[in-house]
Amino acid sequence: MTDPQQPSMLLTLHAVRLLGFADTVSVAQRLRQDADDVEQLLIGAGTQGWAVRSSFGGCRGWSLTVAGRTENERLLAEEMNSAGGQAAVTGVLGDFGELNEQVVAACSRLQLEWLSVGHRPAPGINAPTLEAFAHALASLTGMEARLTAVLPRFGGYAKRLSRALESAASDPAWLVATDRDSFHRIWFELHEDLIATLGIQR
Amino acid sequence: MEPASRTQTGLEKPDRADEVLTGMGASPGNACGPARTVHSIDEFSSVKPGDILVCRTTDPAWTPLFGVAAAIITETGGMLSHAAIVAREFGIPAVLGVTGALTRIRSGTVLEVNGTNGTVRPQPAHPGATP
Repeated sequence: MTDPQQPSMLLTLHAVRLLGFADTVSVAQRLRQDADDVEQLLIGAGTQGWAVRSSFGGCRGWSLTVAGRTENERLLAEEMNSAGGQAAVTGVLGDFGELNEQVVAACSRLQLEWLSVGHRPAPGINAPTLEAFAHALASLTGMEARLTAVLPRFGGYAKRLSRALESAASDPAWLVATDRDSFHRIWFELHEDLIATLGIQR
Repeated sequence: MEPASRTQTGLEKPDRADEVLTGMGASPGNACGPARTVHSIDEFSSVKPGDILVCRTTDPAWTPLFGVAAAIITETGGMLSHAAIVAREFGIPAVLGVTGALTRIRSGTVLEVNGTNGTVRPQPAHPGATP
């Protein structure tokens, strides 16, 4: 799924929500929208009180307000009603739950191992760890097909996870780091996407 | 004047007489700083470098705060939560699953957070004056 999407307030607010805090280009790229269109949509969102542009930790970017999250959820509900995908997304979230437990456990095991030896990882992933992440990726690929059948914007997670796993072969930080599109960061984003789409509060 | 239900140290209805709150030590290490209770994303701008972030739960929007805060305390979550994983990556202590943290901790109270043992205690205003 690589075709550009028709820019919309739904996709723009949702991209900000999934990224948390991001510049205009990142927001546009997240759901394959045109950056100039997204800039105008974000400025409009700012006028409505749905998003704010600020500086944080030396970076300048956009984040949602509480009102922006509420509007995002309203638009997601409209989208869901139109697509009729409630049953499919609910089913995927159920399957995701078990996988999520395995992924966060694998991430935590890795981090605790690194903490116990007192340094960051050397290249190479041991077989059980690789198997845990590879199993999650394989399972997610099928789940993504079920999601995109009703909501095409869910496309791309498996491809990103695959890239992260490939990169982790030479640098295991790609499994859990927060400064790159790591396996855990993508997984966390997908979790947020699923519960936001279903209107579930954490 | 303090509300009657609060202690003078800023922790309300503490777990024990020595005013220690407990949770899951999910990211190791110690940190000390002023508590900053954050109820929603609209309050993010109140968090200053070195604050102890106190919140109910986190999602991707909260990740940048981990780079600013000295430690994190949440009401939900545990060793395997996303918050734990993100805190370990930022190398900050995390005590998660602290029941009622948002109501029991007052913003501005200087706290000592032990992410190894899962304890949160107020730092005495005058350390020499305590037994």
